[in-house]
Amino acid sequence: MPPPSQDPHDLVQTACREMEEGTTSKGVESDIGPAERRLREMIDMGTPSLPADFNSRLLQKWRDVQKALPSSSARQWIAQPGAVWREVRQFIGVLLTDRRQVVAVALVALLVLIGVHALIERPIEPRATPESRLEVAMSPARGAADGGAGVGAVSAGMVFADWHVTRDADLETGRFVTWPKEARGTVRVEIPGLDSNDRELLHLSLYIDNPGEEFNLIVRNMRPGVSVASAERWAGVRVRIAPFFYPGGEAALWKKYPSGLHIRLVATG
Amino acid sequence: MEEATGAPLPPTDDYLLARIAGGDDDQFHVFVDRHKRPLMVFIYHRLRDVHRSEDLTQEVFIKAFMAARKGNWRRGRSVKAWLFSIAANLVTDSVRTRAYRAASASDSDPGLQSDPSAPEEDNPLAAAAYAESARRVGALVRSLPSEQREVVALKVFGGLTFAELASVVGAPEPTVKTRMQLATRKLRELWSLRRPDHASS
Repeated sequence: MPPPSQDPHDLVQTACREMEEGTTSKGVESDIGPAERRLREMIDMGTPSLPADFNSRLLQKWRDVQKALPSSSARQWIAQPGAVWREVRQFIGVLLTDRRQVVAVALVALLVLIGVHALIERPIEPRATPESRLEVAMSPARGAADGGAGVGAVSAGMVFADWHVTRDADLETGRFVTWPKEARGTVRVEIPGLDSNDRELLHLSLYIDNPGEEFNLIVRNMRPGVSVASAERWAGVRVRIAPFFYPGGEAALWKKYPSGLHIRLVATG
Repeated sequence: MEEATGAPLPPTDDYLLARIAGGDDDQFHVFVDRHKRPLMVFIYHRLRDVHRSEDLTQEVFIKAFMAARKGNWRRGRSVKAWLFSIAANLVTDSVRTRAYRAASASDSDPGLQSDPSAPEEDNPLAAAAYAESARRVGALVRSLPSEQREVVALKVFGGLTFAELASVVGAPEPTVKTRMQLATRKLRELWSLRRPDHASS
């Protein structure tokens, strides 16, 4: 705990300065200074304790989870299809005496197993969950003010946000778009001229803008060319759209596209 | 395993995790006691919901144990950084899926007032002042842009080193330091605006 005489305001200021200086220091990094340590202690003190039975409840849950996991023998079966085949043949061999019958029935059983396996392994079509839905457009008035194209009614193909992003753009701020109340459909990110191989380098994140509070993330890693379903609950809400660069990929991106890129949000109906 | 002084070395996280994955309940408590508090502090100051934070802290451990049991973790990597990666992802998912809104800086914060296990302090006034300051620091951190917020929260609330931070956020260490520098500068400015004497004038 910090010494009682320490003014919390001064402590936070000092700790911030310490951390700021720590980020510019060269050589061996000293990750934590005395003020930062006291700040952590202060924050620790301002955090509720975990309940006394936290460990026992966690242990019980872990035991329950372990029981639900496949046993080691079952996992071995799954990992070794050959073992399954041998077991099936032995089992059927007990019931049938004719060798040809055994082979025929075993083959049928194997085909059934392969079919079941194929069904289990079938890729599941992605479904838009309520949490990942978006509104698609912005009102005309806010459109012009916020840097969008100023389109009113929403229909497929309409560009409702379009801005030029360069290396020097203010990426921390991103762009703000207000969804109109009547918006429906889906929205897609388009970046004309972006090589398909570079799609992973640049994503978009969308946040609800609550002045004075943190930005609440709606969708992250929205990739170019991918449509996202609409929803009504953000109607009339101001949303921040922020580009996100794949770590380490930003420099490569701007080297390849020195004049910058146009990012567009397009209603797809 | 002993040092030259004869004092036993504490077991490493790698060792503990492997034992827990193998069903060793004794090592379970050592590992959980070592990490539960920093995780709770980190999660709580991102969500401001004491019950949800407890649930997510529990969830972090369960995910880690399951991954260890399946062998889906790399020995040699910082277990602490790995746990905080899981925690950061759970917090993000929680915010996204529940459209979670951080509690505003009001006096009716349930997290601070309903905690029956808060330690008794010798100096209640000083303790209250620190708790209030901690709450306000948390609110300021939550007002930062997401990338900066993540770095500051992991550093201040989680106590991670820059190397561990880089591992968690998947960015080079210089990038993490730059974010940290921008964030602390902004925090300092915002904090100075919130001084009581400044506010009253």
